[in-house]
Amino acid sequence: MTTPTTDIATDRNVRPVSDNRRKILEATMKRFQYQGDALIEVLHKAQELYGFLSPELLSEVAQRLRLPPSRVYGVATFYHFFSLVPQGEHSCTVCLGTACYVRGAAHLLHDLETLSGVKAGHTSSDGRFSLLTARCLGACGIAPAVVLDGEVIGHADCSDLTARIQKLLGREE
Amino acid sequence: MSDVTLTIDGVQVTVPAGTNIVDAARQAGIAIPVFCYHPRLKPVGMCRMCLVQVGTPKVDPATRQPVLDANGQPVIAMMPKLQTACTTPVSPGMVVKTTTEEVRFAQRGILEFLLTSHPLDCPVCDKGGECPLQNLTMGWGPAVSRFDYNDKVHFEKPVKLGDLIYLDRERCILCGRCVRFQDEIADDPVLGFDNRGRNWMIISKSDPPFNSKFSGNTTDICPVGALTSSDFRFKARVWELQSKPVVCTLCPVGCNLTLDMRHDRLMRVMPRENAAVNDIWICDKGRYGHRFIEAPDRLTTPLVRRNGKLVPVSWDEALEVVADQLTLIRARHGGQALAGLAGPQLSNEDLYLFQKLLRELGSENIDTGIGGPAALPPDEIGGWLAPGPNTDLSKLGSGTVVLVIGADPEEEAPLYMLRLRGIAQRGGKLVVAGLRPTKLERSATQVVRYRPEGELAFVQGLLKAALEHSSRTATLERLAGWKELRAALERVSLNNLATACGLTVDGLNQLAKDFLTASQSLIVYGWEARSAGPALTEALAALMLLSGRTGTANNGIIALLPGGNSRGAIEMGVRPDAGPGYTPRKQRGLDANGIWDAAREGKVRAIWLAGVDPAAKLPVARAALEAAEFVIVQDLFLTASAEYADVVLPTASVAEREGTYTNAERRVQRSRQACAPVGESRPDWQIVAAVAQALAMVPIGGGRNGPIPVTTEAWSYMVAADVGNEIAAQVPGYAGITYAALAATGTGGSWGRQFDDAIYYDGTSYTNTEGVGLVLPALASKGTVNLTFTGKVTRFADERPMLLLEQVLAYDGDRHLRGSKLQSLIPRGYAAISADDAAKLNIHSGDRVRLISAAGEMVIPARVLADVPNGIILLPAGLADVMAAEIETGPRTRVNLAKVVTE
Amino acid sequence: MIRELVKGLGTTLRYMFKRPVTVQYPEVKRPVRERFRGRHELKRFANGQERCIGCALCAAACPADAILVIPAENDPANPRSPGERYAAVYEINMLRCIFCGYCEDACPTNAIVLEHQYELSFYDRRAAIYTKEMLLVPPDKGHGEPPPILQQLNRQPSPPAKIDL
Repeated sequence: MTTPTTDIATDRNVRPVSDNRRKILEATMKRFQYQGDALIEVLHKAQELYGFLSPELLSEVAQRLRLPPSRVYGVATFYHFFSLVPQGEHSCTVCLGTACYVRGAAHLLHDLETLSGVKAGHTSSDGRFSLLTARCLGACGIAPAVVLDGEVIGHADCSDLTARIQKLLGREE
Repeated sequence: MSDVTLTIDGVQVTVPAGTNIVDAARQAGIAIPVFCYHPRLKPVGMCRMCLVQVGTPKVDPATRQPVLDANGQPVIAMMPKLQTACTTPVSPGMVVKTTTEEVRFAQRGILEFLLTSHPLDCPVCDKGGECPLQNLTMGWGPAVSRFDYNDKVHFEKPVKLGDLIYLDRERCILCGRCVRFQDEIADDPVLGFDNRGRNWMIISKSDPPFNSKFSGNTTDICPVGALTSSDFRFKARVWELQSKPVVCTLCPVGCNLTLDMRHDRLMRVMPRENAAVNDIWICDKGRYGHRFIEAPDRLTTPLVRRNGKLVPVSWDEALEVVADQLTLIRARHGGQALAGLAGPQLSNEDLYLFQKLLRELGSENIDTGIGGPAALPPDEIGGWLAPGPNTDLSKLGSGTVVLVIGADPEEEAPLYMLRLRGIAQRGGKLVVAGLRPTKLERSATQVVRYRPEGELAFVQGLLKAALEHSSRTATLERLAGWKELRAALERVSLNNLATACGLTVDGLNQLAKDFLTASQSLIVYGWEARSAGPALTEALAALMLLSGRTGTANNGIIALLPGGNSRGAIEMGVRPDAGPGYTPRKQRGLDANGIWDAAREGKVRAIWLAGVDPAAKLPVARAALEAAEFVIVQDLFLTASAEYADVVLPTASVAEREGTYTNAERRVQRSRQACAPVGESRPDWQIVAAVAQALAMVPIGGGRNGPIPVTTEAWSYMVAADVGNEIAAQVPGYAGITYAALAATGTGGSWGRQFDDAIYYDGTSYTNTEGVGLVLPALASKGTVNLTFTGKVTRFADERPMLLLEQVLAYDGDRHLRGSKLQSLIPRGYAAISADDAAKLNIHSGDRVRLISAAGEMVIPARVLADVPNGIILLPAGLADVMAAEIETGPRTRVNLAKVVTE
Repeated sequence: MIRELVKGLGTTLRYMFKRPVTVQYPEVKRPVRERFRGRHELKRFANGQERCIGCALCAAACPADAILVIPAENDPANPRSPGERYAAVYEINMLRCIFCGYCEDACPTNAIVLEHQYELSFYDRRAAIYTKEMLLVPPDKGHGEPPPILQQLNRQPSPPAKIDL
């Protein structure tokens, strides 16, 4: 059995030399003694560092943890938290849970899609903004709830939200 | 383990403790439907199809005694919910109900649920007709579905999992049998589950996709038509197939196959159950590599060279030419001017008659294979010290020590990898020693990795340590060369040997002790060990003899030789130095390399090539064939050697004839005829017999070299069994191995095919109706081992920095793989080097490198591989575009490595 | 004797003025019943694709073993039939066929229909084997409506022609 070597140094995923994210990831794996059981923790760290899990990153994690790549892919795609495509710099997550839905989250999402020109679950072409949905944020009391860059906004309405987004993107006129 | 008695549907059944309810019910003749459960895989309880009601005797907590009812019967406490029968082990007094309304309701529900996302495309599905989902729906399913047909989810199809396997996502019921097979049995964890919910699907993320030598087995165990074989895709419906039992001749395992024929055309190849050989699995080489049978370029008529051109003639004409020429050359130059080479894929009958005729004509120049610098003398050790009758690797586990030395079973004999891995999984000790990592290593309990200079030291160290623990040297003392070997061992210290191979003295001692004290011990060696020179394998033979159990069941040496019937070829006497059954000949003939030299010197005038193609690989053979007066080529195809032929005789393939084959364990198995021979082709044994008959008819007689001693009566074989009976009567060790005896050797397991057993095993493999074969009585058991210790090691012409090793690949340039789906998996020629060596010379994969040896040089693309040790170059000599003979000086070669710089 | 002669001629005379029962075959052809089972036709869908998907269920159902189907994989760019599979070879040996109509019953796509053509005579046995080209209707014709008997009874074909392709 022979497998081609991957030269880690030439991996496309590596940003310029100043990028020490790989070192941090390596340290994380080392802390778990490169055990396969620690896959989810390692993927968490990788997602935190890179914002998304690229195919190269996944195969490297598989190699380092001595896991079959198919299993690493399986775990990464199983959990909603992990993203396999780059996320925008700013993200807006609209809750579509029952309570929020009843309070008009679907309309809100539709309006946001129209205004921002980004389809739900996608990122704008300039990579600055992602529009996402969630099943339930557990904040039904303040429905409809929206998470804008980590900040939970209750009783969200479209105009307020649009203004905030425009502000974030630095396009306020 | 103790037995447990339980009651299933009112039937009392006693099974070993630890058995699960599904298996127990099967013993009682009760069918519990399953999808995800497979007896060869660990139960996971994913599909919920096997839900049953389970109850256990109620125990009084105070007295720890079973509570009895008014009739004195134990009170049964039923579990509140249904249990999965596949994951629930039996317990004493357990009561299982499989037919209650509650169970039926659950079964109907599960099937209705599964069918909500399963397409109604049975008419086009390749599994249709042998599909567990169809069968279980008929037997246990609801008649109607409440599901709205329009809500059915559709996916794009088919998804190509690899070149060999297609996935139909709609049909998949996500039982995970394929994933678990790859993880647990094949040790190629290349499949996985992707995503979740409705988007859950099977993926393969290896490079190349679905990179496994056993991938075809997943289509067998897939309980629906989700995984289908690209080879059988839309070829036929399964009920149209006629199953013909044959034996695989592509490697020395000798897997039992079933050729599924429709109207005399090969549709697919399936495993045939034989617990002692291939169980219910086969490798992809066997499954996909039989398309050569129907290759359009098969030879159909005899050809004779007239005016420089090969022209089709009748058999009578061709045989007349052969007989005339052989008689003429024999009369002029004597019998020793004739020579014959036979291929290791021919059957015992072919090989036996081939050597018999040549020897009757007075020639001892007989050999197997094509020779060349890397050719090795016939392997006797694997014959004398082979495991004895009733050997069954599938039963071995705890108490077994297996020593795998210098072998890559995955490539040399793929199914042995599963067998050896199974021994380790069942608690046996599997020691894998070699120069480089192999896939088997991952399953080993101990890995020994040494440098080339440490390889002999390791075996000698083991032997020296073993000598201290064993006094069973009686047999050894009788063998020639033993005293010298022992004296040599006494001259070196165990410490030095241990250092040389990178082990400790204690480690060597422990290993030797384990080997000697185990209840079964096996040694497996392959090409790498043999290429080190006879000294290595001889030391292994001595080690085996020291165990004192040689020749009994499950104890012995298994040599992995190239070719399907290489052991048979040695035993039938297709070798220059010994006749059938290792009987030494008075006069030694020429081996293949000797024949090439003699032919160029004009000493050998007629060369008969049966199933070998030396011209494709050896320049020296081309020159020799050019120089020879008369060349007979007997083959399936118009090979490169046929260009030099005066007569080309078309042979029938393994599917078109009967025959027996001897595998690496010396198990003789019978293969049946599956279809009519292509054109006018004939089985090799018939051709040889026909040549003999023609020789007997030549009027001129033998001249000064005596009359042709062949008579029509002696060569009047009607059927293959006639030859088989003669082998049983004449070849030492083959007594009693008649066709009738082979046919009466049982079925080799209790799996059967779905027709026999609808619920449980489903299409996995066919019942073995033709007998499982017989392991020959070990030659060593009679105490008549006849080995010589030569102590020779492979020498090099000069010292160059890199060591060139031939690498055996399962998918190589073998002409039997032509026309198969495996073609895309056969790599282009390359030389594999280690990452460090590559870095030193700034070589990247794909760069062209120059290999220079004392014999010559070659330019070849390099491949940088992680698991090649430094200082070693692996050259897959079997690939069609690798002409290893150009640079090789012996089985191993010292070479210089340089990068080819192009401007 | 004369009396018998006159009696016989009288019968002849009587029938001379009645409508003849026989027809002048082959110039005149008697219409067959709706449920008549004559030579098979392989139908097409309205879009011209072949209905036959090469499943060989007709061959399995055939009690006379008259049908040979060799399936193959459709070219996705230019499929001959819906789905992945089509019949590369479809042959019926008319000498073997007993016109029982089981193939029609077995067909999941209503591809094969026993139509009303009954003039099947051959000069040699080989000519009795009808190939797919001979059986397949022209692309613009015969889109495989449910067989006449089912139309008559106003019933859906059985098994339901609902398969996923």
